Amino acid sequence: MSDTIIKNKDTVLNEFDQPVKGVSLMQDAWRRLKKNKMAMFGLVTLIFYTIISLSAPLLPIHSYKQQVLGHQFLKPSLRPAGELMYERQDKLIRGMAAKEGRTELNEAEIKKLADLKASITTEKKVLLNGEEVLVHERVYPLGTDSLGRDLLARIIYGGQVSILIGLLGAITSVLIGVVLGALSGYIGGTFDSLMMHFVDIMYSLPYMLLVIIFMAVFGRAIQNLFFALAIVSWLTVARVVRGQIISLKNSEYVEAARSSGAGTGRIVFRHLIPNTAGVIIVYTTLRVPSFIMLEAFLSFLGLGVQAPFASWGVLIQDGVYAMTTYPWLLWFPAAAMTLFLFSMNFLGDGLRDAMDPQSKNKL
Amino acid sequence: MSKYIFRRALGLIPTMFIIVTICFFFIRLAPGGPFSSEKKISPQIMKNIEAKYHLDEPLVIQYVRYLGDVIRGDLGPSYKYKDYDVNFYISRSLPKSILLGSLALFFAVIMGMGAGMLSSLRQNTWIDYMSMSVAVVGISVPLFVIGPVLMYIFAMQLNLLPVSGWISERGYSALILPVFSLSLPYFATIARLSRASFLEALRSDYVRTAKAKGLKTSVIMFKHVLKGASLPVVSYLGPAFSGIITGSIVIEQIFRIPGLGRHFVQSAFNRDYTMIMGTVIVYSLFLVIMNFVVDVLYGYLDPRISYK
Amino acid sequence: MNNDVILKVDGLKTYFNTDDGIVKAVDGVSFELKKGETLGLVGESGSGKSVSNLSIMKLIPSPPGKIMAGTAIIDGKEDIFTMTEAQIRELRGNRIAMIFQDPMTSLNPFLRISTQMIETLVLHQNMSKKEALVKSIDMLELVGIPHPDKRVHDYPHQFSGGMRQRVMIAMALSCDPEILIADEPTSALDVTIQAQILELIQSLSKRLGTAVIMITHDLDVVAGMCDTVIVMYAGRIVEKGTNDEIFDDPKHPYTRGLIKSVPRLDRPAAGRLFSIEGQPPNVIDLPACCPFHPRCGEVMAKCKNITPGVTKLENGREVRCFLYEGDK
Repeated sequence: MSDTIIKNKDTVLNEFDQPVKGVSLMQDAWRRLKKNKMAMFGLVTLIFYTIISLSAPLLPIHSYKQQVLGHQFLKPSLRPAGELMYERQDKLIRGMAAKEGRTELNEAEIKKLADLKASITTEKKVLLNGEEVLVHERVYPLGTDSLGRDLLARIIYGGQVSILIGLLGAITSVLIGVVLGALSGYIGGTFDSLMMHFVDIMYSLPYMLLVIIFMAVFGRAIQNLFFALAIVSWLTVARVVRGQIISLKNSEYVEAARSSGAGTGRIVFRHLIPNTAGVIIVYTTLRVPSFIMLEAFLSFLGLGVQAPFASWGVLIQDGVYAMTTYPWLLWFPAAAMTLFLFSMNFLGDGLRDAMDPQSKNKL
Repeated sequence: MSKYIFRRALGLIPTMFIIVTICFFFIRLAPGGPFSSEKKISPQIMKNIEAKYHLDEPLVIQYVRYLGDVIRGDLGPSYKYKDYDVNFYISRSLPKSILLGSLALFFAVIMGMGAGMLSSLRQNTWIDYMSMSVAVVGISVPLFVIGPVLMYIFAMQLNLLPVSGWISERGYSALILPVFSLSLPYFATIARLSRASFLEALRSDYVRTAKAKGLKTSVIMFKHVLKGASLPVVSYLGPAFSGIITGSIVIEQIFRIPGLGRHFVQSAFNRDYTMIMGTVIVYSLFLVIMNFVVDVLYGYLDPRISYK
Repeated sequence: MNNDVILKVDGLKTYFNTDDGIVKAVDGVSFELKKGETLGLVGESGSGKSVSNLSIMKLIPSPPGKIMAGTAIIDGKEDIFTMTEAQIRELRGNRIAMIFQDPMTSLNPFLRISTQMIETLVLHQNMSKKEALVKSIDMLELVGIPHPDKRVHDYPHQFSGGMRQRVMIAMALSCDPEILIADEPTSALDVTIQAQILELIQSLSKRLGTAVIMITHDLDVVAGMCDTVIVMYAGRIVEKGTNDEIFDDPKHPYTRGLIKSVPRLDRPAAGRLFSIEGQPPNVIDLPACCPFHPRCGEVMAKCKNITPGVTKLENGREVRCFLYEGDK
C-alpha cells in the first residue's frame, strides 16, 4: 500500500515526500507551547524565580530579619549604607540650620556629623549568624524598610513563602478536588447528588469571608492559613473534573473500550485519567497565582503571614502605608509579585491553548 | 416560567438557613469569648455581661434565640460597641458598599463585553492586543497593588482625584478610583471570557448561515451572536459578585471608605461575634439573591433550558 | 456568449495559511452553472468542494483563508470577487442562497424560527414584518411543515433534524434565489429522511427555476438528481460530464473507483465490494505529480513527476488524466 520511507531519524515521509507528523499528544502540546512566546517567557521567568528561591540561603544577600539601627528607610542605591546615612543626616542638619537662618553649622552640629562619619567606618555589629561585620559598608540595592531590614532579602524570602503557599495550596486543592470530583463523576447516583448539593451550598457562601473569620478567630499561623485556603478552594476543581469524567464516561471511545471488554480499572487508568490530565495540569498552573493572591490578600488585611516571616502580601501592605514618602517600599515587592503572577498566567494560558486538542483542528 | 421562579425563590430559604447555622456554630467553636481579651473583669461582672447577652444559656437555646431574631430582621447588639446594635452599623455602611460594588460590576460588564466583542471582531489587530493586555494586567495584578498604584499616580502625584474618603466629604470624584480599581479584575475576566465566546459564536454554523443570508455584521453581532455569547458572562456573574464582595473589603481598606467591608474586618479583629455574623448574613443574602437572579436570567436567555 | 449560464467560475484558487504551511484547498477550479440546472459536486472530505462554494459566497473565514485567484461571473455581468462587501450582501440570501450540512447547528438556537425567516425577507424583499411573516408561513407550508402558523414561532430545538432541514430550505428559497448551494444537505440526517429532503429540493428547484449546486460525497444523490457532475480530488476537478456520461462511461480512474465502490442492487453481486485503497493526500506543499497516483490502478511513470493538465473530450467533457492525453 502506501510506501512510507524513512529518510533520516527524525522525519518520516509519505509517498509525496511530505513529512508525516508525530501523533503524541504531549509532543504536539510541547511543540505548540514552544511557539507561544509569552508562555515561554512565563516558563523562563518561573524557572528564574524557582532558582532564586531555592538558592536564597547561598546568595550573597543580607538577612531578611536583621534590623539595623540607623538604616531605616534607606533609598535604593548601590552605594554603601554609611554614605547614605551620612548624607541624610547632613541634609537634615543643614536644613534645620537654614530654617534658623544660619548658613554655617554650629559646633555641636559639626561634632555630631564628625561622630557619625567616624562611627560609619568603625562600627561593627554581630550578625544573627554570629559573624561580625562593618555594618555600614552594606549595600542595599533595593533600599531598606521601616526597621532597617534589607528589602531585597525580604522580597526573596517573602517570595519563598508566597511561592510555597501558592504551589502547596494549588496541589492540595487540586488533589482534593480531583479525588472527590472523579469519585463523584464515576460513582454517580446518590453520592454524586449529595456531593454536588454540598458544593452548591459552599458556592453560595461568601467563603473568603469565612476564611477571614477563620484566620481572625483561630490565630494567624501559616498552617491555619494553608488549611483555611485548602478547604474552600477545591470546589471548582471538583466540579470541573466531575464534568470531564461524566462526559468522558459517556464518550464513544470509552464505550468502545468497554464493549471490547476493558475492565473498570483499565478504563479509568488508560482512558479517563490520561484524558483529564491536560485539564488538571492547566488548572493547577492557573490555581498557583490565585493562591498567591489569596494569601497576599489575607496578609494585606493583616491576617496572613506574621513577623518575622514575610510574604509578598505583607511587604505590599507595609509598602502601602509608607507609599507617600518611601514609594520604593511598594514598587519593588509589587513588581516582584506582579511579574511572577504574569508569568504564571501566561504559562497557564499557553498550556491551556497547547493542550486543547480542539484548537488543533481549527482551520 | 413564573412557577419555576417561585419554586427557585422558595429554595433560597433553606440555603440561608444553612448559612446562618454554619456561621453560628463556626464562630462558637472559636477559642476565647468576645470578652476574654478585656483586662481583669471580676467574675461577677463577667457573669453579668454574659447574662446580658444570654451567653450563659445552653448553646442550643442561644441558637434558637438567634435564629428567631434573624428571622425578625434583628441581628442583635454589638459586643464591642455598646451604644448601638448591629442593624445600626450595617444600615449605615451597607449603602456605600452597595453603590461601590454595583457601579464596579456594571462598569466591568459593560466595558468587558464591549472589549470582548471588539477583540473578537478585530482578532489579532492592535485593538485585540491592547484590550487583551489590559485584561492580562487586570487578572495578574492584585487589587491591593492596583489600588495603591492608581492612588499614587492620580491622587498623590497628579492631584487629579481625592486620595481617599467618600462622596459626603469629597464629592463624586471620590468614587472614580475605588470603582475603577475594583472593577478592573472583573472587567479583565469578562473581557477574556466574552472574547472567547464571541469568537466561538462567530465561528459557529449559525453565524455562517446568517452571513449567507446577507445580514450586516452589526446585525449579526447584536441579534445573532450577543445572546449566545453572553451566556458564559451571565454564569460568571455569580462568582464575580462574590469576588466583588471580597474585593470591596480591600478597596474600602485602601481608600478608607466606611463601608460594610471595613466593619467586617474590624469586627473580625475585635471578635465582635454578632457583628461578624450580621455582616456575613447580609453578604450571603446578597450573594444568594444574585445567584438566583443569574439563574433566572440564564433561563430567560437560553430557550433550550426547560423549566421543570 | 452563452445566455443560459447563470454562474461561471474560472480558475478559482483558495488557500489557507496554517501553522504547518499553505493549504491549497482549491487549486484552479473552473465550471459553469446553467439556469435551472442541477450540478453535482462529488468528492471525498477535504477535496475542496465545500471551500469552492464558500468562496463563491465569499464566506471563507479570513484569516486564515484567502481567495488567491479566479473569477466568478454571475449572470454574465459582474465578478463576485471584485464586488464590495455591500454588493455581496445584496447577493447572499437573495440571489444565491445556501443550505448547510448540519441543520442542528445551522439555525440559531437562541432565536425563534419566525425571527430568523423574517429578517431575510425584510432585508431583501422590502417587506413589512407582517408580510414577511405571512410569506414565512407560506414557505414553511411549501416545504411540508405541519401547522406552520403555530410552528413558525417555535425555537429550532423544538424541531426534529429533518424538520429543521426543511426550515433551512424554506428560509433559503424564500427570496426566490437564482442559485441554491446545497452543501451536503442530507449527510447529517437519517436515511429515511434523506430521500424526502432531496426530493423536496429537486421538486422546489424545478418549480421555482432555481439552479442548484449539490455538494455531496454520496454518488447516489448525484445519480438521482443532477444534470451535470463534477468530480473533485485534492483541490482540483478531475472529471466533468453529464450525469449519463459520468455513470455510463467514467474516464478518470478515481471516478471509476468511486462508481465501483457503490453497492448496486440492479446487478448481481460479484464478490467483495470494491474500495479505493489509501488516503487522499495532504495538500500542503504537494509536489508536481498526479495527486491520485499512489491510489491509482493504472499509474504510469510520469504520473509521479508531472501534474496532468485538463484534457477536453467531445461534448464538453473534461478529464485530468494522462490516459486521455493522446485522444485529443
